[in-house]
Amino acid sequence: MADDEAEGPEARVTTEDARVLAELSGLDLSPARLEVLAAGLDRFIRGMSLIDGVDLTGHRPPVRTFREDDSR
Amino acid sequence: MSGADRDLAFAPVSVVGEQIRRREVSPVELVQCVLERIERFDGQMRAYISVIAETAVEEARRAERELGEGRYRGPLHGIPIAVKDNIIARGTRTTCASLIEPDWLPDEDAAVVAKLRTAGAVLVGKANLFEYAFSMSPAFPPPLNPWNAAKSSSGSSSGSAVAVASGMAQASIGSDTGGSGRQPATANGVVGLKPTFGRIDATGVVPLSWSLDTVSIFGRTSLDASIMLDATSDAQPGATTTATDLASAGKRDRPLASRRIALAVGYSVEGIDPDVEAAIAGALDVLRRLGAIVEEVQLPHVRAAGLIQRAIMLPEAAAFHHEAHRSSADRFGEAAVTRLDLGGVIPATAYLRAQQFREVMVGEYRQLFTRYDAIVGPANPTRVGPAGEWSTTVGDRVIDLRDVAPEYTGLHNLTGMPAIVIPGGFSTEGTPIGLQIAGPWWEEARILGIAHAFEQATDWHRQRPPLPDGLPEQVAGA
Repeated sequence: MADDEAEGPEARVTTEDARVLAELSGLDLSPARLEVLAAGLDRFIRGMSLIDGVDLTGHRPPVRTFREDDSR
Repeated sequence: MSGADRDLAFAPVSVVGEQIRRREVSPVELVQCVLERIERFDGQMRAYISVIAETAVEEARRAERELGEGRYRGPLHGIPIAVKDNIIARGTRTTCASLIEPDWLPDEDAAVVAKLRTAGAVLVGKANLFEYAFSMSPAFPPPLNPWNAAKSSSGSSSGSAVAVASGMAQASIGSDTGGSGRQPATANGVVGLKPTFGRIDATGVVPLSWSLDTVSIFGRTSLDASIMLDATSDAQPGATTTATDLASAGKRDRPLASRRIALAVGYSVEGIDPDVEAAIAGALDVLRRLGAIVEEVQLPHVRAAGLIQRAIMLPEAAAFHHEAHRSSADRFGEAAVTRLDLGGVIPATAYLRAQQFREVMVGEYRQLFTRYDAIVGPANPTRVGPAGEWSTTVGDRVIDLRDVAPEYTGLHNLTGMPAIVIPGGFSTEGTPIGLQIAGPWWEEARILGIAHAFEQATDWHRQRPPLPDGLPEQVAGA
């Protein structure tokens, strides 16, 4: 997906949002990195709308069951 | 370097391996020939981060002794091999092309390295790559593309591809998380095989993304890729292929008769580079002449591949690098930091929904493979771009590899299906264009068979690049 697919009129993720999220991840980012992160996260979240209409019911992510044949 | 030495260095494994078995070529002679080329050219080519010449010669001597005693290990016995430097080998520095831990000396072999040693292969060095297979390295400049030094050698397994393309290893091992094996195979004009996820044990590969990382293979022909796969893969019933099987399949008049092949369409970016279009059209003509029925097919969910790949790869990479990212971000390259920052804050629900979505994709491709035996198409919609850059300009379009690779090659990592890239033509700039063939899970034999039949009908894979032998004498060996 090209980056421009996620462009919109208004940013949903602010640098303050990015700072809080980064702090929760243990990251103390410079203002420049926060700005890049906010823009990247905003694009990512808008991009996720691409799969909003897809029915994911019944599709589980990989889960280990500890059966011998399920060790991946 | 004599013409005979060049011929030896560029000989396919299937040929020189047989010469070794017959004692017509000595492993020491072959390994020394390759090491001499590395010594002479790699200062310029930069395919390797570490070369282990002394150990390699010792291993070659041991192979020679074993052969003399009648202990033949198989077609890789005495064959010089390169391994990407994010894959550990006992007692050999592993840098991951990073400044994070530049002097790491692992005390064990990765599973794939152990299998290669058991097969008698000789490890000559650790190949250059993107930093942690992720982005441009701040520590090691990228290898030169041997077809045109002004062009990109791509990544992330660029060193593994360039070593084979330059006659500085007979075959090599890389890793492929979203095309990191097949993109450099395309750019440097060699065969690149990404097997089914889990086919080759990834233990000892420094992770980029646990649920996507696949050990990949580079060779000069599909036969060589087959030999490497046989030696390195974990056993799967019915999945083994051998050089003998491929050779006999290729001798039939119409080896692809009744094969139904889907021509992949539906990408966000396609049909924009006339050189790629011409090469693929020519390749389709060959496949039809060989008996295949080729039909255009819209690939399911292909345009979501970039999003899904980011939603999975970035958090997994951020989790793996969590401590180093927090404490030593200044030692990562700038692009890696930007991606790790984002990976660190992508919501868990997005990651899990992306993993669920992969299952949707797998179901769609299972359906597709009930109607078709394989999917073919280009590995990249554009010719190779400038050295050191992500972007390629075609006409008035600027295409960033990071945007198109998830769709063209990342798709197979998301679904786990095997895919191979083989030389399929050249651009008007003299750079290679790859033909990609994907197939159902565990059916590497099928895609190798199609690739081999294509190779028997074409000579793209027999071309040799102008470099490194064409490097000016005054800089060669500098």
